[in-house]
Amino acid sequence: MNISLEKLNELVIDSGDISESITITGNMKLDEIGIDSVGFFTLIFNLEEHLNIELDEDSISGLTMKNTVNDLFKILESKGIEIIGA
Amino acid sequence: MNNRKVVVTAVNACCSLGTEISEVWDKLKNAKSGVNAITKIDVDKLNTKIGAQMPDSYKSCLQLQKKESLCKNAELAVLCTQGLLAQSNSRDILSYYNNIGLVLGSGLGGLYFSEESLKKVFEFPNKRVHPLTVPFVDPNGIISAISRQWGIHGHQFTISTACSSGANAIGTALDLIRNGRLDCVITGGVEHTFSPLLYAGFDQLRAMSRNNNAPHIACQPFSKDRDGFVMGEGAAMLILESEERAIARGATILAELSGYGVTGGGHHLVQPIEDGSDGFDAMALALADANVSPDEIDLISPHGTGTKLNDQAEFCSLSKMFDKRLPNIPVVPIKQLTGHMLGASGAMEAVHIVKSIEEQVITPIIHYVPDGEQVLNISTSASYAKSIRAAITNSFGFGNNNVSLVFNKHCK
Repeated sequence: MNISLEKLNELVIDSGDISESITITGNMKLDEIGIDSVGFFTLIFNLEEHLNIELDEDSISGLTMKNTVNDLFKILESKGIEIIGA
Repeated sequence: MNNRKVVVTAVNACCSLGTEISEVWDKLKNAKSGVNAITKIDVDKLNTKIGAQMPDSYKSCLQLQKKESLCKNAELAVLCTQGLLAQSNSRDILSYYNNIGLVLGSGLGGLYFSEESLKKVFEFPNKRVHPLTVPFVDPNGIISAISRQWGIHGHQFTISTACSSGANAIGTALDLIRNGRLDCVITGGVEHTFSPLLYAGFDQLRAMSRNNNAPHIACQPFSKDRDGFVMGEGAAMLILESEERAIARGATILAELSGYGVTGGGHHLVQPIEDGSDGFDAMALALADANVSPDEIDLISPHGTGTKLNDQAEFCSLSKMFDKRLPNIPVVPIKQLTGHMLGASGAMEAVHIVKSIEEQVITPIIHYVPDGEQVLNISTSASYAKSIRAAITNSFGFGNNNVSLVFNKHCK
């Protein structure tokens, strides 16, 4: 299973109150990608729906808005998801 | 109660007939039906397979003031408000009034979202639920979405009284302006209806027409062979203002909202009182509130669902109220065309009445065959011009929640 950076970008935009498109990179802090905490949890929900996976709650709870997008990638990769274009 | 006059200065509707009022009104004037085979849910095992669905293309018409996740019923609320506020008569109200009220009716709230989420909870108990489940299920979500989108901060709440929700919202908005609490209220009803559980529930109640082969005339209000209603969905809204403030800002007045009457039958979960006495009382209260005599009513918009029992009871109440004059008063049961929009139906019918008064026109439906000697003046030919001094609309909901509203042609 894989997900493109482009699709991830789309899910980020759909999950938050983001009016303009953004381009995420692995080094961006989670609080820089335009989503608040509710938006972040919505992103996790949307990722799980899209990829048909269940992310470990402890791993998700360990992420703060100060973590980077790469940290989120690592959680996805631990579930066998390949991030294309990262 | 203050006796301030309350007027209607804008209306809008989105439903199976279209995404804004000009399209919807044009179809109502030409008796075009929005009822077709259901595509949104699986109805294979159900008795009724038709409905007046809002096409999903409505999403492309949404112009969000700020991007955010909205549940489907909130999308309908925002779409309807968007068209309401875009009209020339209402374009400046957000800056003109400091304090605009929002009072909407919805019988179901986010029931569809509850259904979808519950299905997932039971099928996949280990998966997380949507983080916005609580605000999406909240019936007041329609109000808070409008409030956020346009920065409206006045008195605001959602009323839920089954099929009379929209009419009760409009009547409550009338009271809020009359008593001086507000000068301007956006009011009406919103309903997203096509979800498996709700639809199957109505199917099991045997309340919906099984005339699947003739969807456009399946719902036959007051007709001899009527066999039930057809589900509809959408939103309908009005801007109500105190007369003096509307005139002061130079608004064109479409009609006056003059009367509101409510009764509770205390009779049955879903059946009406056979003799229509509770509906009669609601009409009598609304007419007295409006200081309008039954002799001045030139148009009746009935609840007219097309079910055997409801229409029979409503016919009794109309006969008692209007007596020998009843066969001469035009009756326009638009649910044949729009479907039954449940909590939004009273608002849809109020919008229809306001447009009829504004243009002094009686609109037709497609099909009507009188039920024996119970003959009503229901037109199935072309729209025609008629002087309408006052009109009454009925919304009689499950649990005997009966609401009548009276609208007048505005006279200064």
